[in-house]
Amino acid sequence: MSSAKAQELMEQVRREVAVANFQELLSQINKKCFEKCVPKPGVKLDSSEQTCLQRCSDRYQESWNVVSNAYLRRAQKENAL
Amino acid sequence: MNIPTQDLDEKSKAELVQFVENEQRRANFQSTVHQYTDTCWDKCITKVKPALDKSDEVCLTNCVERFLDSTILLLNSLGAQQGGHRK
Repeated sequence: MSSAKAQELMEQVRREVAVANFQELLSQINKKCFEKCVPKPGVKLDSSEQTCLQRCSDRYQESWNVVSNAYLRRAQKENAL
Repeated sequence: MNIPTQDLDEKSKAELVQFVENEQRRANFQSTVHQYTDTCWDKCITKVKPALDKSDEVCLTNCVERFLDSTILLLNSLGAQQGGHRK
C-alpha cells in the first residue's frame, strides 16, 4: 500500500494488538506466579520468592508457546482458521 | 481513530480491510491461547522447575486437545438438545 497514512495506521494497529497481548500475558503471569511463589506475603519479597517468580514467568511463557502450537496444529487440522 | 479512507484508492481500501481482518484473527487467536494456557497451566504445572520437561509439554498439548474435544462434544449435545426442544 503506497499511502504513508495507511502505513502509519497499520503500524498503529499492529502495535495495539501486540500491547494488548503483552498486557494479558503479564496479568496472567502475575496472577499464576504470585499464587505459586508468594503463598504468605511478608514485609518484602525475599530472594527465594524472586527466584521463583522469575522461573515461574519463564515457565509460563514456555507453556504459552506449547499451548499456542498445539492449538494452531489442531486448528489447521480442523481447517478452522 | 480517524481513518482517512477517502484518500485511498479501491485497491488500497481492499488491502486495508484484509489487513484489519488478519489482525483481528491474530488477536482472537492470542486471546484463546491465553484462556487455554490459564486452564492447562493449573492442570499440568504443579511445581515451578528450572525447565519444562517432556511430560509437562505432553500434558499441556493433551490438555488443549481434550479441551477442544470437550468443546465440540458439548456443542453437539447442546445442539441436539436444542433441536429436541424445538420439535
